[in-house]
Amino acid sequence: MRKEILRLFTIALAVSFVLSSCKKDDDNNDDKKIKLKGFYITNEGQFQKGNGSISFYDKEEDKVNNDVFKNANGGTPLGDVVQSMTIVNDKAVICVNGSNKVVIANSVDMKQIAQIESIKQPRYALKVDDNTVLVSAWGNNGEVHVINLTNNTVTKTVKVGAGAERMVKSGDFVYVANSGGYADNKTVSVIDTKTYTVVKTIDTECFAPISLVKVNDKIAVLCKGKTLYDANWNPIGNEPSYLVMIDASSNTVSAKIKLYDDKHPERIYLSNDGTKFLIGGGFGFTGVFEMGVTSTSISSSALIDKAFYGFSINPENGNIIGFTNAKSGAAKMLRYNPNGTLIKEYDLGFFANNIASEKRK
Amino acid sequence: MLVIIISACSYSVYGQITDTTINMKTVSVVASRLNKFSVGEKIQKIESVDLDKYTSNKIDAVLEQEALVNILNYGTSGLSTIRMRGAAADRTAILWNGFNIQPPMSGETNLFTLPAVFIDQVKLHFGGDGALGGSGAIGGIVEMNNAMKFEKGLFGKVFSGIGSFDTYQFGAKVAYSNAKVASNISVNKQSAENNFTFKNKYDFYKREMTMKNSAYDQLGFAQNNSIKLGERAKLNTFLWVQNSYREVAQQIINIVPDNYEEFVEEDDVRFIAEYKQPLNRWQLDIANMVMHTRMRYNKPSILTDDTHKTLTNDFKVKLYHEFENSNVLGFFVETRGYWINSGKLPDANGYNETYLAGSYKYTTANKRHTAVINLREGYVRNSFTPFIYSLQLNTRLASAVTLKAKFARNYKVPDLNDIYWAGPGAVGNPDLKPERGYSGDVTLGFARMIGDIDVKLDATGYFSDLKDMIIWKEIKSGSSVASVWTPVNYKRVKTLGAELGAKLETDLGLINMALRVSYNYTRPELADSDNENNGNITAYTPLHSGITALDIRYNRYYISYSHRFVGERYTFIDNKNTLDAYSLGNIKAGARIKMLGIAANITASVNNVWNTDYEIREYYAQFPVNYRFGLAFEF
Repeated sequence: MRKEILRLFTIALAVSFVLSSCKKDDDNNDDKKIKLKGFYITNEGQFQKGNGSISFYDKEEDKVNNDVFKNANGGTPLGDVVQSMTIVNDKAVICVNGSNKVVIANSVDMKQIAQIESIKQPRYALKVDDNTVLVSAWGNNGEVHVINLTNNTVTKTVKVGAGAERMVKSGDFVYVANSGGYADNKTVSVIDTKTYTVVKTIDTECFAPISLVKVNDKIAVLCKGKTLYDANWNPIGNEPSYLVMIDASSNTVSAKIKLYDDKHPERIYLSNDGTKFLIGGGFGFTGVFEMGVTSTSISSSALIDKAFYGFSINPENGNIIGFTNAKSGAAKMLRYNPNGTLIKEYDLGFFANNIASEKRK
Repeated sequence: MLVIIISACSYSVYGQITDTTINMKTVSVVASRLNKFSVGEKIQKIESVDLDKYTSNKIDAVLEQEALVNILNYGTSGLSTIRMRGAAADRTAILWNGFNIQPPMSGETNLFTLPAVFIDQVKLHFGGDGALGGSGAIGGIVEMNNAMKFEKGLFGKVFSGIGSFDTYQFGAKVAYSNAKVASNISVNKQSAENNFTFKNKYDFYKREMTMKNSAYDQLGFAQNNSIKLGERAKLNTFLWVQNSYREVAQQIINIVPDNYEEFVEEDDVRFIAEYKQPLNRWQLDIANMVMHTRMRYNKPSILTDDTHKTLTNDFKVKLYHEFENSNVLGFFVETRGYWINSGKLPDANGYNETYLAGSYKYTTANKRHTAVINLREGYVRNSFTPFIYSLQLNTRLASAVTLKAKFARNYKVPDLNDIYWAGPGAVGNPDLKPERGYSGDVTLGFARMIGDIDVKLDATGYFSDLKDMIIWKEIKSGSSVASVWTPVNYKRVKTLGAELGAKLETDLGLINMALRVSYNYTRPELADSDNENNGNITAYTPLHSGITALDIRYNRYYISYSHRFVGERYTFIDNKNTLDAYSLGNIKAGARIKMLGIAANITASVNNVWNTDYEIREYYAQFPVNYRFGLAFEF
């Protein structure tokens, strides 16, 4: 009994904490619009341990509340490998990769609204409009699913390339990085959101397109490259990592810039002022590096000389949010200002990887 | 106190005994060095008469219901392993007729692939003894033996079973023996769909779900011979061929697609030839085991289809000398060879291990006190293993009171995966040192007839200190190539524990009743001041566990009930999350009816009588209440 009371008290406390971290946006006349005072963090959890979770960074209190989803939903765990969360108005679209489900939750109190169970190995979600998101998935050798948020159902499935990963929208078109997943791939699929069909598959001619951003009229694609092994799985070399620029008007590759011969970053973001890329993150890669959007080479010195499992940019202020690679325990979030100066560290769940914020660039 | 609570909570009881004085009800079990020189350790025997109740089960179910050991599984068709005294599966030796059958790659025998029908006796040796049990005998030793009966003539048995969730079994055994030859042959086929329904408490909608991808299909064959070549000379052979297909049950926290596919296929062939020759007061035993294992793991969703093959040859020479005063001296040589064919162990083509060992048992003239010293030294992969020894003592303090004590140095050489594994992001470490440590225990036993009741009590306290435990860690973060996980000698775990056992048995006319109660306290702690989890309890080890049982036999009928309690368990070394404690009840009943010269054995069991919703590992569903019926004809 005592344990139950304690559990209920903890849940109530956590939910109230998240709710207290949110308030109505005074600048918005729409009463339904509630602005989060902070951002969410997805913690993948340990593989096959089912302990993926979501944390909330409360910027007013300057603290992190962990396990907000589980606490808001009567102790129901979220699942295995919580890959990403995307906020669309008052809904949070959570891709739980290892559990083969997409959870739709209220973005304010994290209470679950619906669960989509037909998507295998979902990875990332992208808002198309207020009622539509696309979800990339590794299942069936690479798919993108169109989800109607009014009834939380999949309305169409589009076949793309293996290891469909991050997406970015430019006009009516969505660009999908096909990372290869468990195999190799070098392509970016272009989906027309008017018909939800693939209108072009662009060969980047470099291994593992994994992350992309839109800059002006171009799509910047980060190709991770890969480590090569001999028959005995000894590392014997590398396929380089590249930055590939795609001209969004013609959907052709306009530039291909080698980043590293033997290193494999996994994330690319555009700085808040739109003048430079920030590149880094991933297993085995140390540092966050800057690169001008028109530059032909990446900075040789790191803005932040730290190995991050994942990192993100806070779209509200440009702060860099790094997540240390958890080796034996829970991860830490390191919050830096845009100049790379460390502000503060926070404890998180296992294998934190991304943030989810209301504001998108 | 907990023992009393467990007893009081039970409607009736059945189960385990930690008795070292039960006489075997079968004959001619292969005597091993382990049996000759284990005088100071706690041993539990599960005899053929008890194993007969588990014809349709695997060894994991036998141990789970008969013994107070920790059986861990990944769901109802998954990998099922044993933990003794808090030590992990590859730190518990699994012996078949005196040979260690732990697979050399992982070091973890899947007890789910060992049907109980092929085994005649199980003995559990609690606590480490590296000198007797060899590498990995840290938490204890599980000894499975075949008994060869002479002068029994021709015997035949056909058995079948049916159970919940489309469980089927069919098998047969034929045995023949005269004064000089004993031979038997057995075949066993078992399968189950395991498509049970369960209420998924982790599902957001709390739906009732049907288990998917949890079926298994097993076919086994055994052929054993024993030939007396003289007064004490004997040739034994044992053959066990086992095929197993099992789907890999998924965590119930995940959505499992209808067409989901993930399975493991295993083929095991084990053959032992043993020759025993007396030489005056000397006894020479020469034995050899050949073990071939093929394991295929298939998971199409991640493009994985790996096959691993290993061939093990284990050759032993044992020479005993029994002195006139009953003291015994023994010398032993063992050499094991491994050949590996695995895409994940490309550099592990083969290697040898050689061990020398000696034992001496001293018994006082009045036979009240016995002491044993065991020694062992090994040469493995071009280096010597730690020098290993154990000291055992057995002394009768009073007519009904016995004191046993054991102090042992233990070790475990790295498994082949630890040394040779090669894959993207994970490589073995050829520089690993053997794990090493110490353990000790003291057991006080009491055995006396009090009125018409045979009373046996025992109490054991034990410790273990294991250093250089092998743990996989990420070591190359930030290097020029991808991060690499590799095993390192890293952790130290200290364990303290206590075990209490009681058995009361009486005959009321034709009715025999046995009440058994056991309780374990196990506390394995991480001892590493540099680790943030220092002092925490290792995962999946209950601090408290207990089993209580009642066994009633009347003429040709029996009924038994066991009730098992497993306390809260941490799911990770950070000790932040626990699995709830649970209690399980099981009923077994049987009758033997004889008509027209044919004996029919009818058995029935109700497992998980109280329909407990429980987890052994987090997020893996276990069986709800389920039923098994068996029918066997003997002729």
